[in-house]
Amino acid sequence: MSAPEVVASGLVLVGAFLALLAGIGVVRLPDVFARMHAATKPATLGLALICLGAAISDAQLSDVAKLALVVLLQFFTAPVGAHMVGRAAYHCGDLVDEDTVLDELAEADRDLG
Amino acid sequence: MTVVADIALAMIVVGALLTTFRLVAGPSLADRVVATDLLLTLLTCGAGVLAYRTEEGTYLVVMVIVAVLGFLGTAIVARFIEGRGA
Amino acid sequence: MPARPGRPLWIRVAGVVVLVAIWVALWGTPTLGNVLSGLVVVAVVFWLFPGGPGRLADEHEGTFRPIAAARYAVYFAGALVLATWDVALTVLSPRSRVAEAIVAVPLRSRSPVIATMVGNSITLTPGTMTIDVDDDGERTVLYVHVLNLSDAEEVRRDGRRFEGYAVRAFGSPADRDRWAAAEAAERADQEGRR
Repeated sequence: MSAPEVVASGLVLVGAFLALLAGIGVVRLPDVFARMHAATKPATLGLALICLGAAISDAQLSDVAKLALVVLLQFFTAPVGAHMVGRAAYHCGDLVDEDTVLDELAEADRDLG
Repeated sequence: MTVVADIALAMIVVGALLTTFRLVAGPSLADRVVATDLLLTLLTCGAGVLAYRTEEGTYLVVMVIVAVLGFLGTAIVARFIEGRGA
Repeated sequence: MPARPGRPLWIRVAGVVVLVAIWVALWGTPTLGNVLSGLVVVAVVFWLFPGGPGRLADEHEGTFRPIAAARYAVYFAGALVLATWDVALTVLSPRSRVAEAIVAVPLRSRSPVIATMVGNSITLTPGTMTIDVDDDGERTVLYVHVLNLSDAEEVRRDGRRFEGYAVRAFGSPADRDRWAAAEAAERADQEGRR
């Protein structure tokens, strides 16, 4: 295998491992918000690495362009999705009180309401 | 290259199975939305591995569409939760 | 396209170019047919949405500095890698590392673009996730969920560092001025303490 092939394979493997990590996190972590951390960060980076590996292995401009598009989309949509779900879950009271150390949003809400 | 792709796909599938557990177990609707969103992201990752393995461009278009629609679905359900509460 | 006061021509042209480029990228090769069909599609889109993707108030209209943007991208990429590593460690030992909290991170800028970029970046960095934004006309405050809180002030400092990179890369002139003024005030404050 040539050097780019090795690099691409490595990237794809690490990316897939991160995808697996996201799955493990979503099962193991204790509450919704923690699970969102696990679902967004490793999944986004994992997808980016897989796309990078595919781009290096493939190296045609049209494919690289599409892969870049996918990565950019993911980078912008994943955090916004987490934000929206997090906000909804917070206002539904999904934040578990024993685990929570500090809650400045509640204080702000109290100040306003 | 095929071996690498197989290992990668296996990892992604295991991740997807775990996510499905969370999808079923919940307990809240928000948990299930997070699981669904992750499932779609994993689907995109899987398509990426297939694109890497077969060097065919079709999977890439699939990835773009899944990424966009996945986000749309997550956003809509998030609004719903905020309105209704679950 | 109908004349739109306040939005310079080059930005409109750049918008068209970017959209056509995305269209061509989806089709693969930049053949003449792809580019032409792209122009047609973009024309239809602009006809359907004549205001464009929403107007920013004129004072929020950002400027783009490529070198500063590159620095932002590098810092961001490094933070994302660290974030993933952090999640990995947390996942492998959940109970001991979770001390959840929501921290208020006030921003100095007023532009919604900056708020969005910083909010998104915070989500993709170690242990933090933006879950609410409060823009009450006076200040913009991000509410950030932290997975493992050691120091609330540190979260605010990280947010400010991101904001600095973002303002220097994309900020509007008003925000840049605000940023420079705040930095100067902080420096004077530190000098005064010595």
